[in-house]
Amino acid sequence: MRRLAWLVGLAMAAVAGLAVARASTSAIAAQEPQTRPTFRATTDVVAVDVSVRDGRRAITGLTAPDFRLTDNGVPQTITDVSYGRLPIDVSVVLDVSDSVTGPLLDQLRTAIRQLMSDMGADDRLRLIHFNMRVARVVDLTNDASAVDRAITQVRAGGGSSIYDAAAVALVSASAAPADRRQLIVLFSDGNDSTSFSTPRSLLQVAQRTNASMTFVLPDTLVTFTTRIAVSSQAMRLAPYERVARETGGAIYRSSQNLTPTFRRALEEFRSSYVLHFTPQGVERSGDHVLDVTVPRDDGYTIRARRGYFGG
Amino acid sequence: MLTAPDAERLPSAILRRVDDVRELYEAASAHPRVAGEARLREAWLLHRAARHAEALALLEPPTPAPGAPVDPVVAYLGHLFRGRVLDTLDRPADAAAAFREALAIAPAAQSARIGLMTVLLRQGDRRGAELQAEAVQVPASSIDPFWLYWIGDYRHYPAMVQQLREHVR
Repeated sequence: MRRLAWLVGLAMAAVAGLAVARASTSAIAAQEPQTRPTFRATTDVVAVDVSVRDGRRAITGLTAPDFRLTDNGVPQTITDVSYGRLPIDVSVVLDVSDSVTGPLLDQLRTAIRQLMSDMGADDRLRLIHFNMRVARVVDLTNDASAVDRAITQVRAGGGSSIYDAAAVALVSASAAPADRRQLIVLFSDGNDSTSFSTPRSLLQVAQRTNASMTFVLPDTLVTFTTRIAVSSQAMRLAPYERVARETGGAIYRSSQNLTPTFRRALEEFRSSYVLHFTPQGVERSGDHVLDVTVPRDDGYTIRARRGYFGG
Repeated sequence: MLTAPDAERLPSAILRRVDDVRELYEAASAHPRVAGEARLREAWLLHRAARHAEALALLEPPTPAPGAPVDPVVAYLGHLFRGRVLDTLDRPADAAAAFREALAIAPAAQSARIGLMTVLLRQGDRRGAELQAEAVQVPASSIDPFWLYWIGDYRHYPAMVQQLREHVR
């Protein structure tokens, strides 16, 4: 019923909006944005976020010789390893569609406030909302009060363009300077309804951008009991799993209390390594498949970006 | 009702009946008032059935019949879908041009800008892609015609209600 309500509202609003288009059937000049910094992506030096864990415990103290990294199957020399040195930009991408209301919305507000307080002095947070439309409400900042004001004003309603929001966040995050790490945390109920992006196009964007993307999805999808519903759930999760895997991110499931989940996403990203290397013995352009291992112990769980695209 | 782009490919049960549905759309195309929208929906169905060349043939040229009313939603979606089909056919420059034509009709529409952003990124134009991502995030209150595609002719309901009221008087 809620879905029907917003559909009818959408149709009514559209008629009003398109009356303007009818009145001016000639082209309305497209408004292009003006300035933004350039992308940091380069194949001269490649930076790879690598999480090494034993269960949930971060493995610390590793140095370059502890890692083995191949680019398109060719072993590479790791020139620098950093751990905890680089500041972090966190893009929080929030589903504010009509399925995210009431206590869930309150939990989100609390979780973001806590996340903001957990961040380091040089870390920054960007807040992006989406229902059908994707909108940035706070650009990168360490001003907790600005973030607090924004999340207090959040109102939920409408459909859900998850793939579009994820794609936009990935492209925006990749514009950051090379000396800052980029984490995107996207919260949604997992049901895309209005994106123009498809799972495939989102994956293409993920492969050509630099940020690590983590999804926080509520447990509600796992409450299905029939075989068909479980299959449907697996299909719905698959696009997020692919993007998370490709970017070295993760998927966390939580409905009970979102605050620890958001904190865990930040903490696991913070307690990961950044490996730098200059590709040798491979073509610069095209798709590059990365493989990172820690040969001294196969029991570790290693999470790293699967590849990059050389322009 | 098909729910939007939840899946890129149609379920096999629907794929088996694509030609049946196509016949119905072609019958609808005989009516000038809805011919444009019928072709558009037929094209999108064929695209989703991976029959891209046939879809493209239906989407160009989008010239309305003389005297036929211009529906901005149909005009926008025609360019948008052409962009998607051209992109699928690995014609990124043509796809980008189609998305720009859609944006000329509805500059604040998210769908065409997302399509353009993705094509530019795949072409290696990172700066161009980022400019589109920035534009998407500017708050806007207008409705993206793509969001209307899935709710059929709802956009005509207020006019229909108004007509009914006038008949009753």
